[in-house]
Amino acid sequence: MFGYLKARTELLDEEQLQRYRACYCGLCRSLKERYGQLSRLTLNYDMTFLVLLLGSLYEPEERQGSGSCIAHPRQERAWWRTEITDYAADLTVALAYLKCWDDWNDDSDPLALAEAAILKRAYRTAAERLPRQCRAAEEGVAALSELEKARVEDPDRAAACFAALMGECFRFRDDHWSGSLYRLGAALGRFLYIMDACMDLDGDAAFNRFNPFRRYYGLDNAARFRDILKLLLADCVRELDYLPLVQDAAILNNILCAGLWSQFEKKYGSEEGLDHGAGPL
Amino acid sequence: MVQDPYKTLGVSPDATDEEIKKAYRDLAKKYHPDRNPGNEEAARKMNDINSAYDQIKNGTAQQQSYGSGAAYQQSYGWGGWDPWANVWQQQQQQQQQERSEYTAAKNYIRNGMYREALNALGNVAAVERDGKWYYLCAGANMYLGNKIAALEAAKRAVEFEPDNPEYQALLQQLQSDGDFYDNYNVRYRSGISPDRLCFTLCAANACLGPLCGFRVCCF
Repeated sequence: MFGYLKARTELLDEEQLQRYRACYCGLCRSLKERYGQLSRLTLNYDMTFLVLLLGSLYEPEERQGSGSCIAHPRQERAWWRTEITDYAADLTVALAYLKCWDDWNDDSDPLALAEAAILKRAYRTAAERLPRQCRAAEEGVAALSELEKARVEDPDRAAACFAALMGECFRFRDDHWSGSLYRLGAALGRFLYIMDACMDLDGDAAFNRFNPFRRYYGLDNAARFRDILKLLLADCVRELDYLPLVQDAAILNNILCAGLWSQFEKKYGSEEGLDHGAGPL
Repeated sequence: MVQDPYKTLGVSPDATDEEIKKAYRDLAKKYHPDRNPGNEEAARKMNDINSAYDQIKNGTAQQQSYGSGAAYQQSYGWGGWDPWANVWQQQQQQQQQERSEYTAAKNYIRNGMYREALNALGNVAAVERDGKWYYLCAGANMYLGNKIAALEAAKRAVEFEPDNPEYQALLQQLQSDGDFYDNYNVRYRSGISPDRLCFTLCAANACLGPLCGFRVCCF
């Protein structure tokens, strides 16, 4: 995953910040419990967003606690977990495995192969637990790979592959909300893919890797990319706003309104009069 | 459909979005099938609550010209754009014969055959592509849901002919979603608790904090 779905913690109050951190720690613990110590390397904030989102929608029972861990041996850290945390842990290892496998196939990156080898067994387990999601993820990665091989530099088509993958991952189960969740996941998938293409353009062009925006390499792209990203984000916030979310809604909005822009603004600068990290207008 | 969705959720018709969501949650907690296994009455009630919520959200969506679910899928944010409905262009055309590829593309678009329209446009050599080419390309992509290609093509069309009102209108229509995001962003930021603002705002702006707390800059 990309790690763009991260909150701007300086805009959260103390209580929200605690909850956000404890959610992340819960996901890390779930990974360790379900897939072993090494699987913790796949931990990312994108899936923390999914835990908060589905948790807010379904409000499942939460288990809480605190303790030290390998990353923080001297510190007691609070955590909370639900059945959705476990769901997100399954998705985390599944997507991490598919990404490594894809990196190895595309770039022959030996590190990616090594990581894929470590995650292979975990992926099999995850695929048994979430067959629908993993099938969609495999199809999405394969479709993207086809486009990359054929060098089809069409951002809409490439983003659509990732949209289908994420839509299925967000559709937690078949119920009244599955359509909305699919659309939100798809909109976010489309956004994340394009954000990543914007962020990686220089590197991809330098190493002759596939990038749907290659024709814009070397130009001043800040305004162009910002316009595109906003169009895609409009779909995301529209779908988020539709859902009856109360719990953790402030954190979710923080991520979509401010956090998502952190890395982009570091690279491309912030829009005049509209720094997404600067708080209210 | 429920008769009065507001009554079903137990809120007044002028309730805020937050109040509606809160009301939904309270009722969902009470009637959710997981908490009432085998209780048909509770299941029926939960269905009503879900429909009421959808009705209110979709209704609001239509009024505010954005939305989700079915209403959003239908409109997709863009109203009926018709490449034939351009008075300004028709006036221009009287002076010169239109390319056959453009006529074909327009006909395809009008009949909902957007891929065929793009194919027809693809027959025009790259060096001969003008503002109109990009305009039609933007329209076909818009209907296909290719947001990025549509936006980029509309921008090119306006670059070719900055004074063409039709090209400007299409670009504006395509960009309206970006404005929607900006507006949502303002609404979100106006809701951040004022205490937090003291930390994050620079001194010159600090006086805005309490105003935002009272939701003055809210929509």
